[in-house]
Amino acid sequence: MVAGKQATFVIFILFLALLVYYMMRARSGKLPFIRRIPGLDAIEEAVGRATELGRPVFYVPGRTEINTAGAAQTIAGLEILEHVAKLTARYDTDLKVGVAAANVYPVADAIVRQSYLEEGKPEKVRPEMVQFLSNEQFAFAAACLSIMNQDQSASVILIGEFQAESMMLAEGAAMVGAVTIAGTSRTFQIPFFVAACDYTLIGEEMFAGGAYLSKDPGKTANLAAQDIGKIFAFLYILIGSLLVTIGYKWPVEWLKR
Amino acid sequence: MRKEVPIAIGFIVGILILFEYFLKGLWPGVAPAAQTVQNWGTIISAFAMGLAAANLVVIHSRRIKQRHPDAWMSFLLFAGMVLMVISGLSGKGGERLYKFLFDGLYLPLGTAMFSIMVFFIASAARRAFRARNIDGVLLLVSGLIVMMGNAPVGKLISPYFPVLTDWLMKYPNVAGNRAIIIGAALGMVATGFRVIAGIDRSYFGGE
Repeated sequence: MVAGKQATFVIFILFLALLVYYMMRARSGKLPFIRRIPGLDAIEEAVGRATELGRPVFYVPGRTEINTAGAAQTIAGLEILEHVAKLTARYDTDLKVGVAAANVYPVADAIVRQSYLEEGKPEKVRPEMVQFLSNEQFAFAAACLSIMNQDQSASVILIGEFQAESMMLAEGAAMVGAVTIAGTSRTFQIPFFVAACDYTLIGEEMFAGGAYLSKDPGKTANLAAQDIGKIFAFLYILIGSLLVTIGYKWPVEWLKR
Repeated sequence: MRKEVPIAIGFIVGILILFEYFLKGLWPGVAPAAQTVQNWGTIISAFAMGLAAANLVVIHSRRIKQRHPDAWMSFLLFAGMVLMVISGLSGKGGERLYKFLFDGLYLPLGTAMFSIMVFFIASAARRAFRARNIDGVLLLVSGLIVMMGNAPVGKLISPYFPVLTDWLMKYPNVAGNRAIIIGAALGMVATGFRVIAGIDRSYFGGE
């Protein structure tokens, strides 16, 4: 085994076992309790507002490619896009999706097409709905600001991995009076979203989105496993800190293995 | 078959990459195999770039055809695309034009966009720093302390500002950051597991 990754491997395997256990429980009908996530509940409200105003919803599934370290965030953004696209199809609301990564474009396009098909409205899909804007950071931000301004977007949803452009997109959305829902797990960008957006999905809340919104038993089981994982992490930090304080170094040494 | 084949490919590739990350010492062939798979990913991404460029061309051609009020922007986009491609492919002959387009237009435009971010931050801060509830008060007070701690004038007003700033950044800030990182890491593993196990199928166009 690769040195320095042994502890990570053990934790990884234990967490996978937890995921499988909760998934089997959920399949047998024992669904875990899921706490409310206001940012995800607000998505329907945001689409409803756009429907009432007759203005579009603008969605950005992050700026990262699907084959990089930030792929999990992009996939979380795409999972939530599926739900948003179904809602806009159901309510006959215009949807625009701005894509920065070339390899996310065909996936986002397929998700929107499939969602409209499932809602029985494939004829409502237009090429303008999913637009590849630019893979350059500020060219992308400028294009997003332009779309928000031209369309006077009623709701702007930004979920995925963002970098410095996060502030521009969130504040640009607030300037056109849009309801803004944003989510990322990049800790440098979370404060910008908290400051500028109406609702923010912080860290793992965005990964919970697909499960929370779809109510799929297999996916909701993930949320229970994540919560148990967090409790274990909290206890390890607490007990480990106490042990290290009284002179036992092994909680730290073990993590370095 | 439309769903099963991608799920099977995703599962095999996912397991291979995990094996390479954790256990590459057990099987010497795993590292080159994982590298090959990642190269395939890069090649597929290059094809996706072609699709994305086609999407740009379709959308902006329609705008020009429909005589959209901003059709001139679409013209500019096509002009930029064509000039960059021609100057980039024409070797030494196009080098000067390419350099002019990149250094003379592209870089200053990017820098200008980055520089206006300060106004977005100021505008967002004006709305965020309102003491509407206890969270708002905490944000306002800690924001003011950190600002005064980093500004030279803060030290002149009170020597405690830098000390308090240091404490805020080292303890409450790091604790909050780590909590978010641990939660996000578990979420990433769970998302990765759902993709590898084929539970999450949104990435190939819905359930």
